[in-house]
Parts: sequence; C-alpha cells; structure tokens
Amino acid sequence: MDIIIIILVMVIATFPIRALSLFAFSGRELSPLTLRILSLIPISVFSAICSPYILYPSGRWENPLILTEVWAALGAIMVARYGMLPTIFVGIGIYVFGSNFNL
Amino acid sequence: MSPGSFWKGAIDIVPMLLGTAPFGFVFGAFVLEMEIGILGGQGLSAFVFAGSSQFVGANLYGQGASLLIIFVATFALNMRHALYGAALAPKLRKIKPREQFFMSFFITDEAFAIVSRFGIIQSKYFWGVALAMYFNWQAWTFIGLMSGSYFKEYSSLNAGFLLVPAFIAIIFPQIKTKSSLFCVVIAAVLSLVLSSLPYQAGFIISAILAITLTIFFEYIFPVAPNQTTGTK
Repeated sequence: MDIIIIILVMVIATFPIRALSLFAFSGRELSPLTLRILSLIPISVFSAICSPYILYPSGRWENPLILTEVWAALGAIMVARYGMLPTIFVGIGIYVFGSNFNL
Repeated sequence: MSPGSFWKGAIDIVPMLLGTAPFGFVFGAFVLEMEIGILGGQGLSAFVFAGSSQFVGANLYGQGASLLIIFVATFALNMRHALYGAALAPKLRKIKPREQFFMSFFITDEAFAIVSRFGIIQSKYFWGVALAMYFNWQAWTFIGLMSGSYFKEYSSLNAGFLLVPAFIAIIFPQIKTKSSLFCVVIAAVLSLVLSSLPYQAGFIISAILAITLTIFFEYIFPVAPNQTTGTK
C-alpha cells in the first residue's frame, strides 16, 4: 500500500477532529456550566494520560515502591510549585538515574 | 490573557520540547523498522503531526493492516483532541475563524498544555508555541530517521514517561480546590482501571467520567465561582 495514501487517511482521521471541535464551540456565548466543564478538561485529560505511565508502565501491576516512574513522579510533584523546568529536570533526572542504575 | 509575543510562546514550550525530543527520535527509528522509508516517515510527521497516532499508524502499516483499520485506530486515538478543541474555542474567540482553522492543525498535547493555562490566547503567542513544537517534532523525526538504525535499542525506552513531569507541572498548579483535586484523582484512578482498553480509549473515557463526577461533586459541595478556574 502506498504510504501517501496512508498519510492521507491519517490526515482525514486526525485533522477534522481538531478543527470541528474548535469550530463547534467557537463564537458562541457559553453557559457557566459549559465553561466549567471545559476548564476541567486539561487536568482531567493530563491526569488520565499520566497515571498509567507512572503506576502501570509495564502493562501489569507491580509494587509501586519498586517503580522508578513512581519515585520520579513524586519528585516532580514535590517541585511542581517552582515551575515547569525544575519539575522536568527533577522528574526526568530521577527517572533516567533510576533506570540506568536499576534502582 | 496570554502574552502577545511569538517568541514568548516559543520559549514557554521549550521544556515540553525537551520531553518530546526523544519521542520524535524514537519515532524516526521506529519508522525505519516498519519499512516506511525516510520520506514516508518525515511525511507522517509533517502532515499528520500527532505523535501517538503516528506510532500506531506506522505500526499498523508495518503489519499490513487495512486502510479502514488504520483510519479507525488513528481516529480513536485522536479523540482526545476533540476535548482540546472544545476547551480552546472560548479562549481563541478574539481570533478570526480562518486563522483558527489553521491553528487547529497544531493542537497537540504539548501545545494545549501550554496555551490552555490562559483565559484568552493571543494569536502570536499561539503561533510561537505551535511552530516551535512543529519544527522540533520535524527535526527530531529527521534525526531519528537518519541515525535510528544505529540506536535501535532506544525504541524499547518508556518514551511516554518523558512527558509526564511536564504534564505534572501543568496539573499541580491548577489544583486549587477540593473539586479540582477530586477531578485529578478520579481521572487518574479511572485511567488505570481502563488502561487495557484499545487505542488509549481509556484516556478519553476516564477524562469525561471524571469531569462529569466533578460537576456532581461541585453540585453537592458548592465552591465559590472565583475558585473554580485555574487559568490566568
């Protein structure tokens, strides 16, 4: 199968979702309830994305205390109030150190 | 309101670029394994520009899946962008529809994480974020395509985790009320429970359920209106 056709199919599958959802809510006066629902989207989606990577990284349940990802996430959470860069450096630093030294 | 400067947007997303760099690199290497070729791999990054969808699409292509399967898998995986578009629409209301149309192509997890912190997003700021993210992704895909065959072992890394600290930095400053903490905990727990669902459907289902339950939570335990938003 030609890769150009695959790219075209994937563009059709991804771009309209982004564009239509933006236009569906664009230029309208939204109720406080709708605005509240929309304001919860970032924290709910990012929490949903993060938790399996932290607590379920291998696709099976393990003791969280032995997971490098858990310690890296805890480190990142502890410094999250100081901004994005410290959070990333601490989180990735613990993760890379723990992974390389098999802690 | 967001800053109005293109360069401020490009600088603000730099921490996210660090997180996505290995992801783009691994994608480049992965594409070679799937025998898609350099032009095909770069084309996927240039025209699809949706990290995890690209991995799944390339994988299915490598396995000889049908066009319908590739379409359905990519569509399902990208459904969370519907939430992003909906959340950004009120924040982009000062921008012309034609420009919003082009902006929508550049809505990714990372760009959304940066721009969604603001109540109103200014055009130049958005483009700074979006284009820095886009060209970073292209550059790392290219580097992965060029050197991936020498570093195949990297494709077994948990590249997804590299973005987690950046997302933690976005989530935690927004936890200002009991209800937002409730939303985070419920989304995280449900996502774990639903993590075995195909094509990351658990992400979107758990996010929607968490939002619904949080609205009920706020109905039962009302909070002051000015305490509910974590945006600037």
